[in-house]
Amino acid sequence: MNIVRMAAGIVLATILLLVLPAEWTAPHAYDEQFREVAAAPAAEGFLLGSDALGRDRWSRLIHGTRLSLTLAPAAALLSIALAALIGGAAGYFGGAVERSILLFIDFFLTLPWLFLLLAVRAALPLNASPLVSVAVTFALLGCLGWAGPARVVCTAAREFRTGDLMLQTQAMGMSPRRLIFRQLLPTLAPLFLAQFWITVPLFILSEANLGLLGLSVSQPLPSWGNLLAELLDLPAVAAQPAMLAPAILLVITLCSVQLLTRRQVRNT
Amino acid sequence: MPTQTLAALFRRFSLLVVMTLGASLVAAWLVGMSPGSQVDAITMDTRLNDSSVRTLLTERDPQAWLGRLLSGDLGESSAYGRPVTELLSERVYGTAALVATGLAGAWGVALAVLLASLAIRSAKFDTALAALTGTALSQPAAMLALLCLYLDWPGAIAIATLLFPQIYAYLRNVVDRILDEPHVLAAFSRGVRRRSVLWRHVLLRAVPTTLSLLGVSASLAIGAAVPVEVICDLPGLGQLIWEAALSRDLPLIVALTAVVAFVTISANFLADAASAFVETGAK
Repeated sequence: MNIVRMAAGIVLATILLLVLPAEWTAPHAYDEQFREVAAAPAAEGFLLGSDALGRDRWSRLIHGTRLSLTLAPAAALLSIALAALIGGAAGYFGGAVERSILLFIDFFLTLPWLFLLLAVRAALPLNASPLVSVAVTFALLGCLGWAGPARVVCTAAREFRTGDLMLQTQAMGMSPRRLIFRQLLPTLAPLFLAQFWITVPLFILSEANLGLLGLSVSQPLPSWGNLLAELLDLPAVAAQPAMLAPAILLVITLCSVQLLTRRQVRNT
Repeated sequence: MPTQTLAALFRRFSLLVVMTLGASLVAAWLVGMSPGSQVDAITMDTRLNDSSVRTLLTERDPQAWLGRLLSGDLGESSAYGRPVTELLSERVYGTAALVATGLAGAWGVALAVLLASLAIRSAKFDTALAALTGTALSQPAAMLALLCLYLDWPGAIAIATLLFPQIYAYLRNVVDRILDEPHVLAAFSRGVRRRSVLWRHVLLRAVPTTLSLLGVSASLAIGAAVPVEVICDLPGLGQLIWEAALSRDLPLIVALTAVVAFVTISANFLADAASAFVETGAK
């Protein structure tokens, strides 16, 4: 492990250690309001100041980071599971099945991602409770983000189907179920992992974009998306640069993920 | 271009058009079934008579919607109370200009940086470039749009900044793969000048793949146009779909999705056709 990857690993581990036990590390609850010190600059008791409702920005950042860093991987897992199922079936069965699935995947990939996300998000209630909005946002990301990984999985499954290993296992009389669970899935496992690491930052960025557009997680629950929405008030940002903290943390986290997983992604 | 290639491209295009229509139909159905969709509001409105209720419900029927779509009628926006085609024609030029400028910038910078990295061949340059592209890839489009707004820069710069690292990374991958091909290694081993090998055997051979990427980058740029138009307050299709999403103007959303799907599918089709044409010519 070179020094850059090690530094990226340390940064990520520190962030996770800080945000995962948010109930203990955050000085206040994410929805606790101190109206007498609303929109206050960074000061004693409020590391990053307070927002317009008097909520501690530092506590909200810790809780919001935890939410984004746990649910984006969960959505990515859903996407990769769908990709493994659909792309794997296409590559494994080949023929008309593969052609029709690939056509569908290509169609899905051609559509602009954010347009699709906005269209589906709008079909669901906008005034949902915070927990429902979290579930809807990340489930949508998981359900709509499978096409890219599915194409890669399909290619790998096709290579497996036409390869020597498949011929050998068939000659040995291995059952299709055993073939899939003992040979195909372990062969594709590194690919699933690489696609997972590509998908996680994509989902974090998508949630951030949706949040800045006001279509992500509902208040008072914090996420990177709705924390970044505070930046829309440019004069306030100029007066209180501490408001940039979620943006800086987002970039640092995503750069660290990229650095840490770059070699694995490239190798697969 | 051989007839076979043309036939394959035509088949693909026809299938994708059918899929666009199918997807619009599914979207229209979803809209009809979504919680709080306007069907209830129509049936519960005491001001409407029988024939008005029937007409309004028929208008929202997915099959009727598909029929109207085929005849070029995209319906009426429920929030604006105006025909969708009118709204689209007002906004389409803004998005086209933004996307075209952003794409031109992204491709220009990506090609310039690629040529520079091939000419300089320095590990330090590559590391600096990796740091720059990595940071750009870690920014949400909306945040780049905010930065443009703050610095009073045109919104197209946000699209170019977002797309250039992805285009550069793809082009670099293609070029690196071609550099490892036997004919390139043979040319180097025979002492052919590096510049000549790069132009004649590497970059020319990368043209068909690069053309295919044009279509994909157009899709990416249209997607990025949504937050850029919203944040920088530029009237375009991205801002329109966002307004439609916030006001739950479902007819407008379905129509916009269908139109944008058709545009991106056509862009991809044209890029693939150009790529196949150039590849056939090269062979």
